[in-house]
Amino acid sequence: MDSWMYFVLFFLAAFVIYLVVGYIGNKVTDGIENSIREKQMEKRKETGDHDGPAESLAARYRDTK
Amino acid sequence: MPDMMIYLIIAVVFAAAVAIGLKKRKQISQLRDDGKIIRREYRFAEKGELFTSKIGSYVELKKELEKMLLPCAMKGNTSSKVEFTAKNYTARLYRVDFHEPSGVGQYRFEFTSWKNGRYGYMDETGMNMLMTSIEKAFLALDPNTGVSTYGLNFKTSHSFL
Repeated sequence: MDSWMYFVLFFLAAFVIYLVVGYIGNKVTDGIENSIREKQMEKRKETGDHDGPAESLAARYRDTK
Repeated sequence: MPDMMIYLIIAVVFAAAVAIGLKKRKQISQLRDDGKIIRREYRFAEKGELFTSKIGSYVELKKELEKMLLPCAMKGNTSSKVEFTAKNYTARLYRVDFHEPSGVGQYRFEFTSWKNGRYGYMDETGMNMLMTSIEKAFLALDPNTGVSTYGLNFKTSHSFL
């Protein structure tokens, strides 16, 4: 094999490893984030703390000016 | 000379980035002045809104929505559910309750999906415009519209590309 082929193979291998690690990393991150969020939602439902207070919509537009 | 070229390239790239940033900031400022968007809390799409408003009838609400220049496609019926679709987000507005004798309706507005960019929502301005248009439609029908927010149960999914 010519030396340039090793060069190309090296970068191809590095790219595949990057994709695999990236894919696994994303799945792990998704799992952790979604798990934390579900626990937070359940906790809010238990305490009844899932709704914000009712406010005047017009006041929101006055306050943002 | 080669060093000078590198510094020059870096300076040009930096200046271009600053110019693009300033232009974007000016656009957002203009949209805010025109009333098309308002200042919202960080990650505003993660909460839904429950509107209580004297809309009169479904037709009136539909007419108000159609008057708005929405930044996305809209389909559906205000008597049950309206769906909004854009390239980087989707949302829905659906009826929770409607008391025909008084004309008071309760509607929920939620973002059903969105894409995140490096620094926030991919199309934060479009999402803000849509939400502002919905809110203004209700306010046009009833200046005493009440609103409350609630947390959405959503899942994230990272793309490796």
